[in-house]
Amino acid sequence: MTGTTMFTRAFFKFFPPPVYLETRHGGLHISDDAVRIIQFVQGLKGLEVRKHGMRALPRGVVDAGFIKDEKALGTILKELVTELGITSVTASLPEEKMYLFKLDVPSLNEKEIRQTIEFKLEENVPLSPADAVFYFDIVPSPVAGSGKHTVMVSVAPRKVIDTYLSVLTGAGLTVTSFEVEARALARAFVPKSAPDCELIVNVMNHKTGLYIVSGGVVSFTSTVLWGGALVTEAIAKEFGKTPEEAELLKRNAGYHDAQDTKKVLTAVAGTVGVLQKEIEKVYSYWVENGEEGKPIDRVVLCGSDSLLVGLASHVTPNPEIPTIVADTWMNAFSKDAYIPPISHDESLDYAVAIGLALS
Amino acid sequence: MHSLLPERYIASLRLNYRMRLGATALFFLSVAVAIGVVALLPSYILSRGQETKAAEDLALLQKTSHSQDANQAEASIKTTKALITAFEGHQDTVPLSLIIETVVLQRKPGISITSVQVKRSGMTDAALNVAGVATSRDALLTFQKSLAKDPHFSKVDLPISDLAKTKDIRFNITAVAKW
Repeated sequence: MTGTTMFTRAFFKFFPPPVYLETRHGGLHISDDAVRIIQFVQGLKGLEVRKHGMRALPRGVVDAGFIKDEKALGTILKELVTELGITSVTASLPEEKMYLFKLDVPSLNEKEIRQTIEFKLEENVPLSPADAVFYFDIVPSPVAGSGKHTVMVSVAPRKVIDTYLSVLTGAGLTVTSFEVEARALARAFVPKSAPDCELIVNVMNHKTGLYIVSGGVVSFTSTVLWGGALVTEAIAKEFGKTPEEAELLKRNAGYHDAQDTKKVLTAVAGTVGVLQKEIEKVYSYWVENGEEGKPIDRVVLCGSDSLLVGLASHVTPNPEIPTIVADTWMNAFSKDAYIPPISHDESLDYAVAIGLALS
Repeated sequence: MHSLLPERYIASLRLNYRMRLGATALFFLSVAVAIGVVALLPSYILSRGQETKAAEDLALLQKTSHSQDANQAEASIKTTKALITAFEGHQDTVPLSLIIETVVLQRKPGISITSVQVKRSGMTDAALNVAGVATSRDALLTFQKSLAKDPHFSKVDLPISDLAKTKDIRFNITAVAKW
């Protein structure tokens, strides 16, 4: 943290701007299964959760990041934000609709970087500058010996942005920013002090996001159609249970006696193997094509299905690399000073929303 | 801050924020003005009171001043009136210069007049006392006779004692003048 930033933070701690000007925003995560929103407030000892809420989305309202039923999503969102009294949000965009590429730029002047990106855009993504909206992160270390700097460019189709904006503003929300899920996750739980190179595995119900964050910058994203629902389905099939019973069995695996836990693990081993292979592919790609001298230091799992007993040890691409479950509150507050109203299990599903709210 | 948002939307966000900033600034300005007005109110009331008092004092002072002026003017008029009355009283009397001039015209060689005292006893009557030095007894007698011959003078008396010396005689002639 620079001296100026520290001074600014200290100044605004003692002389906070009026609430009317603060544009206090919440983090809104729209996934295929649910919408989650969370808002922080500056407390005496740091940030505190002010408001949070979740609404499950019926199947088909949002599919693979596409908003299929704008009206239904708008109604659900309006109901949720009206109940919580939130008017301004930073919202997530689905990884499936985003493009990410790396570009070397000669200058750190923002205007010149934007011009360079616009010039090179069509070489990297199948979109013209007129049809795209983009932002960039500057990779901290310059390109060795060239005097150039590297930027990671995230590009979204303008059509997707317009659709999301239309739904959110229709629900009475002001959007302060859109961000990709990977960036929000990095903000939530990648340590600010010494950011390493991490492989984030975001397990959702019907898909899993695999992101590599290097030096605090999202350097790789990939989405695989593997999710917690497949695990539930495997358990239901193996034990002849309804989906609800299977879900309960999945959540409680590890809390049963050893025999039952072993049965559950055996039942899901096949489907978890699919995820493990995908993670290995990403790991191998990074080893061969990733940033020089920046090996993956650890694998971080998030999403409530990441708590499935034995998953961490099962999916690790390299036994020497630690695989842990994310501490989603890491960059928000110290749990020694404040106990959040959301349980740890539940907070894993709020990880994206938390990262967005911290922006 | 505003990433992945279309430029038009960012512009509207900025406009909205600036409007709120302006509204907040106006609000604080209004509060500052209101506080200023309230803070100045006691001073204003005090000043008004002092102004009223000063105006009253000024009016009183002017009134007093007018009265003093009037008194002074009245006194001045009275003095002037008294002087006029005094001068009016001597308007028809024989001028003193004429009396002295008549005495001096009768002077002969060897006579030096040192003083002429005139004591009026009416509009045209006066008692004279002519003092002086005569070089000789004859000159003094000639001067007395010439005075006595003048029709305006009567009872021209020269004390015998004044004739005791023969020269450098100090004399004191009395006469009654009438015009």
